[in-house]
Amino acid sequence: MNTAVLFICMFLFMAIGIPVAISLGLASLLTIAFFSQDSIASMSIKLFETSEHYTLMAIPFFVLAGNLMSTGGVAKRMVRFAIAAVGHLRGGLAIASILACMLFAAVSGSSPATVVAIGSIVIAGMVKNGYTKEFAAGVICNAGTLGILIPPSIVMVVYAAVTEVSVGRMFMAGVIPGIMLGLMLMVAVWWRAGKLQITPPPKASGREVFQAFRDSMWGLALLVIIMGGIYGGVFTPTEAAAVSAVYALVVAVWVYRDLRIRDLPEVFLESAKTTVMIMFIVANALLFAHVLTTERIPQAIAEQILAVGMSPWMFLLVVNIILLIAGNFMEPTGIILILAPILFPIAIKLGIDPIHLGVIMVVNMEIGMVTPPVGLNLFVTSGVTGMNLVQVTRAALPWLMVLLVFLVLVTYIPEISLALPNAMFGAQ
Amino acid sequence: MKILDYLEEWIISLMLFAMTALAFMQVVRRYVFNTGFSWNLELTGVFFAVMIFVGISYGVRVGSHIGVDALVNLLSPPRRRLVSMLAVALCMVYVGFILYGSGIYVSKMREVGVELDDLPIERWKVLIVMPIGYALVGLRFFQIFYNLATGKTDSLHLADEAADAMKLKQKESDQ
Repeated sequence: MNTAVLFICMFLFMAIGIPVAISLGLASLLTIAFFSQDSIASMSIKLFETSEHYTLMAIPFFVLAGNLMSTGGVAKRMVRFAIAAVGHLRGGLAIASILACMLFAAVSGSSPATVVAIGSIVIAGMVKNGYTKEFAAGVICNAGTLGILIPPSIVMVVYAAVTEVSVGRMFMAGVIPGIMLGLMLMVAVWWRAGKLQITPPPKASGREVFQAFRDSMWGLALLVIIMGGIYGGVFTPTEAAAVSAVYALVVAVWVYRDLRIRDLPEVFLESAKTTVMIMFIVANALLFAHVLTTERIPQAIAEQILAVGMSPWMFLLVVNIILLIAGNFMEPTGIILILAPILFPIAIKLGIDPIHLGVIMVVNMEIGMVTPPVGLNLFVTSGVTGMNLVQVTRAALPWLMVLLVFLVLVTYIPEISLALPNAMFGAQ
Repeated sequence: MKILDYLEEWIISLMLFAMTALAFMQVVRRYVFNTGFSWNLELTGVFFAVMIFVGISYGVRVGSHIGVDALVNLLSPPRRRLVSMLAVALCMVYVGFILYGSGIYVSKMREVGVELDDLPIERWKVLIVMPIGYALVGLRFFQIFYNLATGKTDSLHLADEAADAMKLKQKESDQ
């Protein structure tokens, strides 16, 4: 009963246009006020405690690092390198764009940001070379989702924070799937480009490739700092995030000289705005999750599922369906915060590795970003290309199939996610 | 009003800057000079809290809080305006709950006078940023409600379109 009120209120509030964060918070507070012994005072202070969460402090730093890198010419240099390296293949420019998305995902923790940074450079170039606008937009919209799969990833930080798994492990777990999805999209492009009859640019000399690589190296070093630092035990993920923000600032201002000092207040304000937007959802979703837990919802669902005798593969199928549906209507951090506390204990009981579950959730969130009505990547792609939402959705659809195949692979072959973290940190 | 707008922007930008600087210095101190301050982390958390709770109202003003407006946009403008007024009224209920709850908590903490773990500051002096921040949020929602009621706008202006709308508004008020 209480649970029904909680969920119905939330959906109703969201439907009439109340921001997601407030819908979550108000639904929780109303449920507490009418059905629970807990005081409103102790609940509202839960919101405050979000700001004291050490793992979550990584979020502002990653957002800042990503913004410093995207306002600079880092994306441009990555695109240049990608074109030099693979541009001469069949469908080369599109393949290079995917590679550029992968590289940019390694400095940015956000998918829409990846679409904007790479898309605004390559889509026009692709169209000029004879690709249709639909082809270009569809590829970038989907390849941009790699932003949350390839570390650093804000969605992964949030997952790690609620389930208390290690951020380092989560990041490592995203590496192989990220590369794999990138390659799968490239193969799909190569296959479909056969029909397009486009002459790719001439092959770059080894020297040119090397120069383009050296030029984009400063940006790529960010990932080395983060992963190396965490893996080597030099710093915690939160510290790594802070170091990468300072590094990004130094690179953007003094090495690449793409940003002037007087541009910085703007970048800081923009980053603070994004951080607050994320943290406001996180804080209210944690409140929502708290109500769920006090109502013993996760336990009840877990008991049901175990009583039915659901096998792990069936459970994962159900998880994927739920997440795919939820992904259509909500924004990734909110979904992770609400569903992770429910799914996590069940997964543990069924012997599913929490890191594996995390990667499955992240891949589902990627798919949610390219499906309407709430698909952040669709919105930004439409903004970048000037196409309307329906056109972008249709353009993204063929490539979405690749993402779905990839989801099946990741779900039923846990080694794709677990091999690297287990090799590096030892099995759990 | 203008002063408040600038103040919000400066506070959240500065807090992010201070957080980054503090966290970075902590790493440097520990690895280069092999020392560290226990209060460093706590202070970073305080800056984070100030940024979040002052930033929410800024987010309401510039419309950066994500929401689903697909359904509301299907309605005719007069109906959309009514539904939006209901939505804003509910947002104000939410703000009221938090103001009430955090207000009680802060005054209790003030009576007890507990200090932070590593800093010689009473905890309520930090916690108070929450009711202050939410009061600002309430103020922003009140403005939106007023604009809706007087017909100056017909929606909440969430996320994307918000940016453009705000820029237009800014130009209007500048003229």
